[in-house]
Amino acid sequence: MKKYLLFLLFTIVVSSQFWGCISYSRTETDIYTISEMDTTTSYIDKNAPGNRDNGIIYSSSRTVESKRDLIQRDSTVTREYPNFIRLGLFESVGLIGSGSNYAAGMGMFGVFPDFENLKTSYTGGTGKIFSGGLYRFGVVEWRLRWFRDAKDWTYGTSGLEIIMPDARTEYALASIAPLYIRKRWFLREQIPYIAITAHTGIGWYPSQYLNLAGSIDVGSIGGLNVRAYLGLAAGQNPKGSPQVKMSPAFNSSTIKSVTSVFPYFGIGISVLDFLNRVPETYREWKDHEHSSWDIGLTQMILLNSGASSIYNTNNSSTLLTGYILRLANASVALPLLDWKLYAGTSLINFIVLGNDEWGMGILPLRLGIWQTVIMDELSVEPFIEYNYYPSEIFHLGGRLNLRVTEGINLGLAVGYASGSTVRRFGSDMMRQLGKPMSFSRPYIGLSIGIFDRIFFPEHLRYFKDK
Amino acid sequence: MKIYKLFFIIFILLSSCVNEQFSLNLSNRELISGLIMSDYGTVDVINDNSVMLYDGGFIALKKPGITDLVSDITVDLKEGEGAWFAIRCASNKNEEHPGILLTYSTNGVLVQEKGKSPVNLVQYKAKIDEPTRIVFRNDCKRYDIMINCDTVYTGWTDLPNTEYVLVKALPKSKVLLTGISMFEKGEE
Repeated sequence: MKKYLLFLLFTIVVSSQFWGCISYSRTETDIYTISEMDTTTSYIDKNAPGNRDNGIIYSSSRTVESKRDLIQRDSTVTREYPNFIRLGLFESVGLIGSGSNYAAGMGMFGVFPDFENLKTSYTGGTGKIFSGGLYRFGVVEWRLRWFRDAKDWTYGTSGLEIIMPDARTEYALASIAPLYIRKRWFLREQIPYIAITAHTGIGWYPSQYLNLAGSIDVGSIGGLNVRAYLGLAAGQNPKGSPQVKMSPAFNSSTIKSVTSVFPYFGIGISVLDFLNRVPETYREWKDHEHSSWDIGLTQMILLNSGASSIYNTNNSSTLLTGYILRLANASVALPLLDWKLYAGTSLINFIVLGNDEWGMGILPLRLGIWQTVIMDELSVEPFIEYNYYPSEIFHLGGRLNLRVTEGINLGLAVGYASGSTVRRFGSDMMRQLGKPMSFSRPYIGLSIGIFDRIFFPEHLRYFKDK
Repeated sequence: MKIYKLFFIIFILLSSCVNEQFSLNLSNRELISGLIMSDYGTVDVINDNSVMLYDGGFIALKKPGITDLVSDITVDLKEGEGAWFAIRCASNKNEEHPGILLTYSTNGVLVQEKGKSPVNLVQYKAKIDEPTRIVFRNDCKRYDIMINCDTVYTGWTDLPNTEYVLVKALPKSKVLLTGISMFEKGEE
C-alpha cells in the first residue's frame, strides 16, 4: 500500500498542473497568425538584335511570369498573472493572556523579545504583557471555490507555524505545512485593504492541533500588514516531539505527551506579505498597482568607517571595515512632496561599522526622500533612520541606486551612524556577538540589493493617471 | 502516521484544483483547453467531450499552437434561442478585440465582422432538440462556415488566425455542445 501512496504522491508532484498551482505566477500564451499574400508579375522582352524575317504577324518574344507567395507569421503573446491570494515571508504575533505565570515576554508584535532570555532553559516569569508568540514562515493562500463560488474563501499553508502560549517549550504547538481555510470579509476594498478574517487551521507534525481564530487585518501595503488576533489553540505534543524533548521540565524517565489548550489575543505584523483580491489575480503583473519605492529581501552595504575592521585577523589594514545588512525591507510612498517622501522599515537591521562598533535594530523607523534620476535606471535616496530596539542608533545616510535587474541593484552609500550596542542586550548575546560599545562614525560603502526591487514613478499607482 | 499522509494528499489534491479551466478529449489525445469565462454554475463540463451552457454561459475553447484551425462542434439547443460563436479572437479582453461573430439562433444565422456589412442567412434556423453540426474552417485569410455539411458562408478577412473559438449561450438559452473537435487545416 505504501508503494501506491508513494506513486500517487510522485505523480501529483511531477504533474505540471501541481507545479502550475504552486507557482506564484500563472502564464497565459496566445498565438496569432498573420497571413500575407503577395503576387509578383514579371514581364520580360527578349528582343534579338537585327531584322526578323517572319512576316507581318508574328509571335512576340515577351514572356509574363506571375508568382504568388503566401507568408504566415506567428505572433506569440504571453501574459503573466499572480497565482495566489496571499504570499508572505514572515508573520509574527505577540500573544497576550496565553500564559500569565510563565510569560516569555516576546514584546509587541512578538518580535521584540527579551534577548537575555532567548534560551530553552528559560521558563518565563510574571509581569510581562506579551506572554507568547505566533510565528509563521512562508505563508501562502490560494482561492478556494466552494459554496457555489462564495466570495473570498482561501485555503493555504505555511512552511512552519509555531504557536507558543508562554516560555514553556513543551506547551508550544508547532507544525510544518499546517492546512488552513480562511474566509475574509473586506471592510475596505482599496489598498491598504481592511478585512475581518476567520481562520481554521490544522497542524499535523510534530504537534497535532486545531487553531480557530478571528482577526482584523490591515494591509498589505509595501508587503507590510498589521493584524489583531483572537483565537483558541488546542492540541497535543507527543512525547517524541522536539518541544517535549527540549523541555527542561522533563528528563528521560518523566518524559510524556503534553496537552496544550489556550485562548489568545495578539497583535501582529507581517513583512514581505502580499495580499491579492480575486480580481487582482486576473490583472497582469505589469498592470499591478504598487505603493512603495522599494521592497526587498536583502540590502547590504559593504563599508569603510575607519573603525577597526571585522575582517582584520592579523592587524593588517583592510579596505572594508564592516557592513550594514537590512532584511525584509519596505519603503512606502507617503502623500507629501509629490509622493517622494517615504516611510520605511526592515524586519532586522544590522549596523556593523567595525569591530566592537555594531548594533541591531528590529523594525527601525526610516524616513527618506526617493528621487528618480534616470527613469528605470538610477535613483537617490537620502534618509534618516532610528533604531530603537535592541540597540539604539541614529543613522543618517544616502544611497545612489542603480537598478541592474528587477531583483538586483547596486549602488554607493554614505552615512553617519551614532549609537549604543548595549541597550537591552543580554549577556548571552554579548558573548556571541562581541563587546558592547558606543560609537559615532561616518562611513562610505558599496551597496547591493538582492531580491530587492526598486520601483519607478511609472510603477506606482499614484502616478498612473499623470 | 496514516493520518499525516492523508492530510498531505488532501492538501496536494486541493492545490491542484483550478475550476475555471477544463480539458476536453483527454481520452483520444486531441486535447482541447477550455476556459470558463462566465459565472459559476453557468457552464457544466459533461464527460470528456461535451459542455452544457446555461443562460449566459461563456467558454473559450483553445487548441494550443494551432491557428489554421478547423473547429467542429455539434450544437444541440435545449431551451431558448441559440448560441453565439466567435473565431479569429482570443479569450483575453475578448470584448475589446474584433473577431468574426456568428449567431446561430431560432431566427437564423448572422455573420458579423467589424467594419463589414452583417450577413443574415435566415434559412438556417436553430430548432429545439435538433442537433446541428457547425464547422469553422480557417485557411489563411479565408474562412468557411459550414452547417450540417453545407458551406453556408465563405468570407475573407485581414484578422489574424488564432487558436480560439468562443461560445456563449444567448440569454435564457440552454445549449449542449457535443462532438467537439479542433484540428489543423489539412487534417480533416
